[in-house]
Amino acid sequence: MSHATHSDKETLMYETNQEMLYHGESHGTKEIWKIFLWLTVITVLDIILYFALEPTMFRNITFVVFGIVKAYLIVGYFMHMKHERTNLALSIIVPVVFILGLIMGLLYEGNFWSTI
Amino acid sequence: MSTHSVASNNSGSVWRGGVSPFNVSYGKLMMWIFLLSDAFTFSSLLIAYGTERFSFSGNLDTPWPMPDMVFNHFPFAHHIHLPLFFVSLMTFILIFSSVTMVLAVEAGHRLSKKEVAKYMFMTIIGGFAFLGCQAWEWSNFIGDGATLSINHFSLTAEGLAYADTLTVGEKYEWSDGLRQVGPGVFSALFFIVTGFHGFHVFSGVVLNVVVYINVLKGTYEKRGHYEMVEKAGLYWHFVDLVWVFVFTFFYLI
Repeated sequence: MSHATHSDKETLMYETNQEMLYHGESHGTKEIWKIFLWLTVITVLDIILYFALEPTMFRNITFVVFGIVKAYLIVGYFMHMKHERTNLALSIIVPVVFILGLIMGLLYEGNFWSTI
Repeated sequence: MSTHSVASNNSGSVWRGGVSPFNVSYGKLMMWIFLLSDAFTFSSLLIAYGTERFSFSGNLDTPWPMPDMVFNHFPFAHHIHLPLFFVSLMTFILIFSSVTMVLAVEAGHRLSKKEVAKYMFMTIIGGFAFLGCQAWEWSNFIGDGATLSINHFSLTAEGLAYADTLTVGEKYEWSDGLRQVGPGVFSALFFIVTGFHGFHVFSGVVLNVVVYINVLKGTYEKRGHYEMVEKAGLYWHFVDLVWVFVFTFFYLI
């Protein structure tokens, strides 16, 4: 796999390192189609619930939960996050906590605006 | 391919240089960091939507519009009440183009140039199909009278009663007194959020075209691996991920 044409030894090491960090093994296509099926099923459920249920808080929360499940499937399987090292996964996922803080703060604020 | 190991004087800790503590290449790690920052941007926009919408809850003078009665168009079905159908179609297009992207990455792992090219091409077609749908959606919204600051889709009390009687697939007609001017921020946020997402889709298509040309030219074949397909793929899946939430907050809720 190497195509060593560099003369500088350090550049060679760096480039080689970068290439070796790419794990090129195939996991087959079975899992991909399974995840596609799940994403389709959840989206179809979204549509069914949209027409079957009255717009209530329960329905809205169900949609958000479904959205998070879809996000998990896309990030975990399509973006291979499940196959990455834990420290990479945590570095990307833990900062999302800040988003939760903003959601709580601003939705509370929006609710307050509606009362004045 | 072999497991990573680079000769270095690193003893014990992965944090002392010579190896990647994350076990991914620089390019892929930075793509993840970029996507995290982009996730913050999109969250801010969607949370702004939530805040505005909450602030109009219970407001009968300038009520928030019902998405049902705004986005109910479908091609070749003029003035027939079909809420959610068109946007569901867009969702499926984007999910499927995500699948073809993942298949391209998988083919890249097997170093199959022909298959990578085939799936990249399908992904690009999916991207253009989505962009076309979004252009149609926008043109309907604008054609119905929306501007960046004007929204006259809010329903009056009679309008709400009319919406209640309307069933899916039925022909509808707007008459005076059913709709009124509501919060302009509804239109503004729709244009900004779907526009910003659409711009991401457009950038993703451009990125995919560049990768596709390089696949055809044999750039990655010479390089010995198709990691660039995977990096472009990460971006493309992120665009799909954002759409999941735009779909949920703008159309479902």
